[in-house]
Amino acid sequence: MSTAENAISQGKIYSSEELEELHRSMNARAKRKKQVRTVCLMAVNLVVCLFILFPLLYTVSVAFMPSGELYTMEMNLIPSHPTLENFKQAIEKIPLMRFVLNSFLIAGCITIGQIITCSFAAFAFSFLNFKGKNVLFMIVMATMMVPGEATIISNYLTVSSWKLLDTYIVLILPYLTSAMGIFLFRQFYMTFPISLYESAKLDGCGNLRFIIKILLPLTKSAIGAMAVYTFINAWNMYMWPLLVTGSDDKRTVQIGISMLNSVDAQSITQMLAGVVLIILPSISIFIVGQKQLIKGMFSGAVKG
Amino acid sequence: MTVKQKKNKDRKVNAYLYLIPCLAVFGVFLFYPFFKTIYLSLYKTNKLGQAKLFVGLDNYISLFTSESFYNSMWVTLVFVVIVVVGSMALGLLGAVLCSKAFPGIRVFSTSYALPMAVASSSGAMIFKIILNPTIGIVNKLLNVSINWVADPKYALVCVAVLTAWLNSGINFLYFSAGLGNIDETIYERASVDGANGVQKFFRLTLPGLSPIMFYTLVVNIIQAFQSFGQVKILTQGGPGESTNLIVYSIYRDAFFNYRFGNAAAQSVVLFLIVMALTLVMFRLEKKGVKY
Amino acid sequence: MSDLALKHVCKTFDHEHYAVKDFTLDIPDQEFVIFVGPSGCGKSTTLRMIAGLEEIGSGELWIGDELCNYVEPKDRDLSMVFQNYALYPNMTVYENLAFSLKVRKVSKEEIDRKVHETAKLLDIEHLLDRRPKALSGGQKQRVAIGSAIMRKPKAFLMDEPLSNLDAKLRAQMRVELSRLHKELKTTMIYVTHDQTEAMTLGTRIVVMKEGLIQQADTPERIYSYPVNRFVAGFIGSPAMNFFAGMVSEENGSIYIDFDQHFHLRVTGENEKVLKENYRGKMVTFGIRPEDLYEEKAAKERKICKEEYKMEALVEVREMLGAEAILHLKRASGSFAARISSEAPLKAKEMAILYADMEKAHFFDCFTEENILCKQNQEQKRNEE
Repeated sequence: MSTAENAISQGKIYSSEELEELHRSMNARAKRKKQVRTVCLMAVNLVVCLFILFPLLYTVSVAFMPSGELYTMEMNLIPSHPTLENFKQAIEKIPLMRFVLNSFLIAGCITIGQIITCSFAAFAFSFLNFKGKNVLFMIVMATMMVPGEATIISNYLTVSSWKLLDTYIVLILPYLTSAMGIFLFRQFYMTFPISLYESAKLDGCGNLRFIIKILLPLTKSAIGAMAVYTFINAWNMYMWPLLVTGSDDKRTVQIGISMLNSVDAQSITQMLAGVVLIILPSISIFIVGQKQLIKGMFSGAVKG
Repeated sequence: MTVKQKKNKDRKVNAYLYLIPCLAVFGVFLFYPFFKTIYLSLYKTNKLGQAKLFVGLDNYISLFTSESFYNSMWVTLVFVVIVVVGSMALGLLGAVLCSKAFPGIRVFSTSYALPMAVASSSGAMIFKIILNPTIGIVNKLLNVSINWVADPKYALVCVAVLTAWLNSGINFLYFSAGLGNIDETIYERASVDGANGVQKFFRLTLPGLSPIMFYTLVVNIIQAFQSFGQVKILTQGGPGESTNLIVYSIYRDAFFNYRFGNAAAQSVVLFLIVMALTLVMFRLEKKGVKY
Repeated sequence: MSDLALKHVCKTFDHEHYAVKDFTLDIPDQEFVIFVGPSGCGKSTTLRMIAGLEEIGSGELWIGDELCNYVEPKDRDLSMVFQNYALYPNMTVYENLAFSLKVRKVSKEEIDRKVHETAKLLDIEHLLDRRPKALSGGQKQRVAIGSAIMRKPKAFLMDEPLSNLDAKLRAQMRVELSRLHKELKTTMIYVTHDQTEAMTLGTRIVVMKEGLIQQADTPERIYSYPVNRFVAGFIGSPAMNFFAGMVSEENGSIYIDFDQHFHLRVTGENEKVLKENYRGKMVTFGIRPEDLYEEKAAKERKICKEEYKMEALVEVREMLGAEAILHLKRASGSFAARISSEAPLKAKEMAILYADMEKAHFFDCFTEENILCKQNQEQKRNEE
């Protein structure tokens, strides 16, 4: 495009060939610089990513390794004869499927329960007026300061005095509500005008119907985030199930998997196969729900 | 008039109805045990955990004169520092690396967040194999033969690194959200103003993260204080008492030594520490955080 | 200092649509250039390309005698004011002002001196310890401008800096920007969608539409000699009135006929061109509201003649003070007139107005170009 005349006004005179050459060389340099930058960024990302994922990737690799292969002094990052034997053994050796079922049941109940109780409480705190509202809300928020581990002994003594040890109920009941969930839902509800509630009331819509028909559909992203977060946490729960379960019938995956925890070579590969099996559900739920989680958790709650 | 009053009253009763499920759970499993823990900490108990003999502050006195307790506090402190620094650094690194779009960013950002989906117990079992003195990959890669979890020099660091790894996922999400909240145009202005990448990072990005940094710090400290599964599976508090973190110490006193009163006293101390940290942090936030 | 030049600069997005197309402009030193146009016309994109925030698709950007297409923004030695001010939220006003010098490793004493000097110039000395959050819109604006003028860059770039202010503050800041430009004697490139801002501030105005430069000229010339219908309609408030009409000749004079009872006699240069090229053809006639006069004023200007007369129904009369704006309606269309508020013309009555045909503009119906410009171009072509 550029012609010699165009360049004359610039004091220094370029011929059109020179100008074109200048363009080409600078363009190439700029492009290379950009490419180098992108490649560097990706390379650093790849290294950090491998570093962070290394324990998981290695676990998967060992899970497919015949146990004989593990016991060498050589580097053995990748199985040379991959096998599914470990998974089979792991399932046969302990009632892993039973544990998975238990965990799904418990985590599912906790998730649904929390969503119900938290949305009810958040509804009351944001749309209704009653005596002691602020004090009650402060008290609920203050519970976030009490570490669960500090009350776990008393809780254990309570449920054992109720003869509830080793039941599903005892695994679910204490986790049926959460201050964080109430806070999250309330944060969302506060963005709705109170007139939304009042006009629904005028139309003859009851409180319960208002929650189910109007609030819940409007807060899908918060519910999604809450569901993913709660489910994963419930799935990964360790200390409470360790204390209150005794039989295989009621054990959750995290406790059950420790049954594979002994140190002969045979069991190491089986143990990691078992770990892979029980990590899969929580990781898949996380990957599927990651977008929801970020959208719901970080849109309002953390900004302030 | 009366109809209206009645309706009003109904409405108020109604409000409490919606709070009952949540308050009931909190009441039974949080407030009641909270006070019961304080109560227990003032008693000697039998093996079933029943309060038998009022001893006043004896449990606390024996705590504060026991070397084991000081050790456990010290160990916990070192542990928390390593975990918080490590997990926040990892999270921040990931978030900064993923702050600019490039091909494949979705895969990388999912990877950085992934550890948050791993349970402490599963993570501990994975580390147990990785750190195994004979077949562990870490020894093979570093070409050393260290018995990581059985050596008092390394055991605590190993548990801390594992915990930092587990906690780094959620930190990545916090920091990513924080970076997303920084106005893009201030970077544009800075580049026109003549700032290079390093200057932008230290003068804009880090200060821009300070509100979320503070929040993340509090959450991380509290979370680190509550670590249990890692210790239980990886080291059982040992070797010696070198990884006897406070929560594990509570667990051991209560369920192995049946000293429920003593464990309750430690629980109260744990609660006080967490509460004090939270309050101090929020006080600091009002003064220190810049905008 | 240095001149700035853009040559055939293009920018596409999606590889298809042009955001900016063949933008060629020389900006001599110390000029106050305004890019103006409706939103999406590519004016901001052009500014961001000059700043280096946006890659230049093709063409050349020269700053001084250096080809700057590929130079990093930080090395271009420009400074920029953003629409949302882009103040660093974590820094005080002092630190905000000092930032561009600090990253250049200027000595502390020098920075301190410059900050106070600039703060004094903009009357923000009392705000130096505050953070941006604690400032009002106008104060933020001053700080943003202050940070930009801390250095003496090759050019100041401003991206709609006044659009977030209320009307009164905006008028005040306009005056101040004008003063600053005179004091600093540095090139300014200013983007706005507000033609009033463009007219009052610029020494040169670049009117853009759909990525193309329509006209680049002084405010006076843009106002008096718009090259096409778009520029004519965009510059000036209220906007120019347009009517479609047929050119006819009667007794040697050229008339433009709108309907049976409405025709105007064309005078001046337009008459010659219309006579030569447009007899019996349709053209668009344009006249600014301020070039229509009521009887008394028309008499003073000696244009109170039957051949310049326009009769129409006054629909609304907007009182502005010394002047009033009439919104009128005829069969051939609606139009506006800006007249003295003393004129006895009321709403819902018929008004008689006289057009100053020396100020009239004629546009080709198809190309929408001013017929005089077209004539000039053709003349040029013939000469070559």
